[in-house]
Order: sequence, then C-alpha cells, then structure tokens
Amino acid sequence: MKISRFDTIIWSIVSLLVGLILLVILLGNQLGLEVLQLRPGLDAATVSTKIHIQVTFADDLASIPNPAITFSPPVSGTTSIDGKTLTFQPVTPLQPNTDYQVILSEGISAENGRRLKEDITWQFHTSQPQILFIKPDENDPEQIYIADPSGTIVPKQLSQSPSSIKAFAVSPDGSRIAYSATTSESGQAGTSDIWLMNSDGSDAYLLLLPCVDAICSNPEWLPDGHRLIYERRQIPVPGAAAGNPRLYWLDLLTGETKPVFADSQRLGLFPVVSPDGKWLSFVSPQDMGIQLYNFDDGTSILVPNRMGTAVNWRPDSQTIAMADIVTQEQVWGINLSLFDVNTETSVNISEGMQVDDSGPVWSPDGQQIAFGHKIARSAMGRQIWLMNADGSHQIPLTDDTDIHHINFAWSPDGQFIIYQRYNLEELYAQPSVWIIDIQSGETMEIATPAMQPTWLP
Amino acid sequence: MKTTDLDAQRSSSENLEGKERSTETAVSYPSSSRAVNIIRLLTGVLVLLIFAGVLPGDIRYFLDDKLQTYTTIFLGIFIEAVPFLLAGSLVSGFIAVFIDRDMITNYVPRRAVPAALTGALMGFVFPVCECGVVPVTRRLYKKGLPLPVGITFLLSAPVINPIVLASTYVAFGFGPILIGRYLLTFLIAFTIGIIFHFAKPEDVLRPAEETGIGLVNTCNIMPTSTEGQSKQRGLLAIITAADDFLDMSRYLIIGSLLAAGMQTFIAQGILLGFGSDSTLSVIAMMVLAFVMSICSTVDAFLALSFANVFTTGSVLSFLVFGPMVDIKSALMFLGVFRRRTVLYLILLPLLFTLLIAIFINLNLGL
Repeated sequence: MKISRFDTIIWSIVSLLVGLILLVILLGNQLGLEVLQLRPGLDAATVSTKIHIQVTFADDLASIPNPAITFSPPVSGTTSIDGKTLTFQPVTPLQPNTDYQVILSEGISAENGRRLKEDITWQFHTSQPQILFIKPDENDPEQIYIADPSGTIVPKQLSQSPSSIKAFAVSPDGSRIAYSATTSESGQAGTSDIWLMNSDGSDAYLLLLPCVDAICSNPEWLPDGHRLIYERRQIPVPGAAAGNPRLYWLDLLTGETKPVFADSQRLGLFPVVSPDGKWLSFVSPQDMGIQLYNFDDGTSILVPNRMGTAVNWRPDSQTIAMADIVTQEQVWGINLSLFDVNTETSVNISEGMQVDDSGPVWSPDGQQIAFGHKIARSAMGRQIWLMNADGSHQIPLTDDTDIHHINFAWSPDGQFIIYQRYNLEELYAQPSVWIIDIQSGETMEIATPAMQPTWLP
Repeated sequence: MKTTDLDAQRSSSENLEGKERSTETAVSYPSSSRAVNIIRLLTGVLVLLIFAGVLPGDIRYFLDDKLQTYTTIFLGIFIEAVPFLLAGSLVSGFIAVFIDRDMITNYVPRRAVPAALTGALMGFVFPVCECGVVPVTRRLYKKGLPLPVGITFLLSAPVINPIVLASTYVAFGFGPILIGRYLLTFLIAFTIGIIFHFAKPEDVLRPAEETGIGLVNTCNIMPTSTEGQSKQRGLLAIITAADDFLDMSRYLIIGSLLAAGMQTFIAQGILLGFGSDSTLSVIAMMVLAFVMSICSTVDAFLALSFANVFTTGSVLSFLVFGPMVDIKSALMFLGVFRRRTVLYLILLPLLFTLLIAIFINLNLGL
C-alpha cells in the first residue's frame, strides 16, 4: 500500500486527536458539582423543628463523604442519597427558636464524576412550635385551630373546611396538614373525604381524595411526605352502614389510591408508620392483635393484643409501646408493654395488675414514656404519668382524680406535653386542651372546647 | 509550497475534467461491483431466513420475530431516506446540465480557508440531508469543485441548512444544543476541509470510470431550436438525475440493510445505561447515531428524548456526528471516494466529535 504525504498527515492528526482525547479523559472532570436547591433555604426564618434537610444537585449522586453534612449546634441523624437529592433526617426534632448553621462537605460526588469542590455553608432559624387542635362546634363545621403554647395569643382558625374535620395529621416536615372531613352538601351523606392544606393557612383546603361511596379517615403520613395511608370503609349502597375498615395508599404526586394489601379481605385500622418509614403498624381485628408490616420485605409480625388501640413507635423505630388487657383469676387490668421488632419479644412495663395504663407516648429522645394511669376498675379520672423507657421510675405529672386526661403529645424539645381533658364532675363537660411543663408540673389551658391536640413542629 | 499545491490541484481537476468529457458522451451503466455482490449475498441470507420454517420451533420463532423487526427497521430507514436521495439526485441532475464548469471555476474560491468556508455554508444553497448530499457532491466534483469545498460541504450540509435549522430549533429552542450543533458542525467540517486541502484529488476521489457518473448521450435528443433546447435540457437533467438516483440507491440499500441489521441484532438498551457518564455517554450516543442512521432533518426530535437522560455533550455528539457519518452515508461515500478516504471521512469526524463532546462534558458543563 502506497503511503502518500496526505496519509501521513491524516494519521498524524488521528494520533494527535487520540492523544488529546486520552488527555482530556485523564485530566478528569474539571467542573464542580452544582447545587440547585437548599431546603430549608438560605436564612429561612420559620423552619419547622421536624424538617428534613434536603439538598438538590444538578446531577445524580454517586457517593458522599462521612459526614456529608454537619450542624452547629450539633444534630445527629442519618444521611441518604436518592438520585439528585441528599437528605439528612435528624434523629430527634431540631431545637425550637434556634439558629442553625449547616455545612455541606466538599467531596460529594456525582455519577458523572463531578465533585463538590468546596464546603457550602448556610443558616436557618427554627420556629417556635405551635399547637393544633380541633374545635368542636354545634352550629358550624369543626375546624383546625392553631394556638401559641405560651397562651398569650388567642387561638385562630387555620382551616376553612366547608364540612366538619374529624381527624388530621401533620406532614413529616410540618409544611402540610392532611385531614378527613365529612362530605359537604354536594356529597353523599355519611361519607368523608381526605383533604390537604398548608400548615401556614394558605390554600386552606384542597380536596385530595373524594370518597363518594366510602368513609376515608385517619390519614397517616409516610416519612417521604409524598404518600399517605388511610382507613377506608366502603358504603355499598347509599344509606347503608359502612363496611369493615381497610387500609389504602394515597400517592400525593399522582393522586393514585390503592389497597395496601393485595388481599382485599385483610382488615386494618389505626395505621401508624414507624419514624423511619420501614414499618406499618395497625390493628388487625381478624388476628386479634397488632400487625407490624415490613415495607421492605413484605413480611408481617403479629403481636397479640385485645385492646385494639393504636401503638406508639419509639423514635428509633425499634420498639413499640402499647396497651393491652390483662386478666388473672377473673380480675382484669390494662397494662403497658414494649415490643422489640428485632428480637420479637415483649415486656410488660406496668406496675402490677391493679392499674389501668393506656395511651403511651415516647418522648422525642426516646428516653421517657408519658402515659395515662388510673387504678383499675375505679371511677377516677386518668392521670398523666411519666416513666423511663425501661418502665422504671414511674411518677405522676397530674393528680386530680376529677379530671380525665387523654391524647398526650410531647413538644419537639421534650419540655412540654399537651393533652385533652374532661372534668368528670360536670354533667355536660366540654373537652379542652391544656399544656403541662414537665419540669415544674405547671399547667395552662390553651382552648375550650378543643380536642385532638398535636404539635405543629 | 502553497502555489505548488494549488497548481497540482488545478492540474488534477483539469485531468478529471478531461475524463468527464470522455464519459459524458455515452450512457453510463452502474458496473457490476462488490456492492452488487453484497446485495446478492444479503438477499440469499434473507431467503434462507424465510425458509427457516424447517428450523426448530424456538429458533424459528426467534428468527421470524427478528426478521419482522429487521424488515420494519429497514423499510423505515430506506423509505425515510429515499425522498432525500431523490431530491439530491435531482439537484445533481440539474447541476450536471445547467451549471457550467466555468461558473464553479470563477465563483468558488480555491484557497484553503475561503474554500472551506464556502463549503461549510453551501448547505444554504443546496439544502440536502446526508443522503442527498452525496450525489450532489459527486456531481459538483465532476464540475470541477475544489476538493476542500466538497469535503466541507459533504460534512456540513446535512446540518447547516435551513430545514435542519428549523427542526433543531423546534425541538430544542434557541439554546446550547442549537448553537452547539451548528458551531461544532461548522468547526469540524471546516477543519477537515482544511486538512483535505493537502490531498490530491486523484488520491481521494474515485476515478470517473469507476463511479460511472456522467450524462446520457444527448446527440439524438437535442433539438436545434433554443426553446426546444431548454426543454430538452430539462429532460436531460431529469434523466441524469434518475441515473444518479439508481447509481446511489444501491449504496443506500446496502447501508440501510446494515443499519437495520445492527439495530435488530445488537442490543442498544445497554448503551442507554451510560447516560450520565461523561465519556461513555458520548461513545454510546455516537454509536447510536452511526447505527440508527436517522436523517438529519428529523434526528433532533429523537435526540430530544435523550436530552433528560444523557449528557449535553453526548446529545451534541449525536446531532453532529450522525449527520456527518452513519452506516448508510458511509456506504454512499464509496460511490465518490476511495476506500481509504472513506475511512478518513469516518475517523476524522469521529475523533473530532469525540474530543469536543467529552471536553464539553468534563469542562464546560452545558
């Protein structure tokens, strides 16, 4: 084959190009990884204490250094990546009314080789948690109200629902509220829908799921903030009694709803999702117990239980606290027990048979449990008690046998508990919402009538 | 040195002109070539596949299924390309009859840079895609077009023309993809045109007797009146276009058969997994562009579907390299250039595009 001068030129250029290509590849990515969005944003002023810190990058993430994100004051939590998003989920809620500085570490790398070339620092300020409750009203629809825990500001109506709100749940990041409300005039009598509103009162209601032939209630958020689980009782024909409760998914992004379980005969009520989002606990009437359903592998653990009330998950998602009926020689009481999902063992933490303990609620740090206590089979009102996580050191917070205390909720910083109470001495007692300072035992009324108090973190 | 090169080129062009004159006096027929043999071979394989009914069930089902896919893809590519080849052949026929050699000699620059610049922008005069550009280029060479102008035109015209400008704008709007596509195509075509300035036409182009290109014998159909001459010149242009069309069709058929084969029997899904990798995404998209052989007038819409998954550099490489070289156009190049030149015309755009696209991904972050 004759090699001309032109051939030589061509092969020289080809060699040069190959060399340049290799050089460009060897030099690697000279671009930094670009941050598209910080959540909470730079200098955000009223950030929920339950916020999950999220950073959205321009490219799909491949690996992160350890630690990828640090806080001042320090916050412990878990960091995960999903596509272009890095999420930091604090183990416990952030401190209210506090300035936080966040440092995103250099070295976070994307699948295309780009790396975050320098630390990114920003600040935000957490808000003071507020109290939400339902205000019952004989004449107007029941609405969600918001109140300041200091009691200095008159509670104000937050929702603008055309029909009565029966139950509600605050989203994991505190930005939205899902609630079930009876159907409005246009709907079928006796049914209830799922609605959504912003927790700041803007967009006060949005019909999320119309249930024209069912009672849809008790919405429960998944930690991702995109999905809900709710109870659904089908009404076969107008005017007929509602059927048995079943659990359903509701995807907020697509609006799709479908049964949680393929077996349509599987019943369930009082759904509670573990804080890490791996478990779903619910009362299973067929099994006479609590079912713990693992989302990851689809397996279930049955915890025998005759009480049939919702359980409460420890913040580390390893243990549930629940109340159950205990009997011995025709004497009954209600005891609390802890069930470890890893060892699948249960331990009774109540002090003997002669107690009626119920409504256990873990403190935000998982070290204490608040619960309702009274002497079994007595007419006294249920009192608020505290115990350590292992059942030791059980002490009363309230001591007024004429008052019945229920529906406890810890403040995000673990210093207060809000609750609902009734005066047993009044014939037509109205429910009211109160707050108690755990250290001092000082109590204060928030609103009357009011019920189902919870924190807006 | 430059004067010597130009002289040599001019001399070569004159030689080609002489050959053209000798061939234009007789009807030319495509000579039996290796390409025809390949067609025969592929036809034989197809017949065998059709008779695959005697094979075991699973294999027969597999072959039936693949054959159906293969046929569909082949027809898709071929039917999409034929109108553009026809348009290119018509332009070629009219160039053969109506454009005088002196026009090209007088108006087309011969110095390297102006020549390459002219070639890069000629797509706006002859808006043809990669199928149509080959016969046009071939015809222009016969009319004495300087080598660098033709090379630059061949590589740039499938993109730098108003039709593709409109389709790319509709798909991507005015932004980095549109600008990048035109800038890169111009830059690469221009550079390669400059490189080919150093080549002698006789080393690069196939001799006229091999290409079979020419005009039909006009002695018997040319009337003596001026009006009659115009009509007959039009007829002659169409006949020449038909001749060109038939001549180039064989390359298009072989290229389409090969492209369909590659798409049918090679799993392209694997390539889609490299979407976010700075280097592999570019290679994957260039392979896709080469194999899929999509016409440049519509490739922007396909590229749009990759835009959210693949890197910007790789999408650009698809839009720049594909119109310059793909399976069917590479086969069609054989009708104009020597085999070694065809290899260069594949290698150079490939390496230039690869270099620039990877550089964009790693350094510019568009």
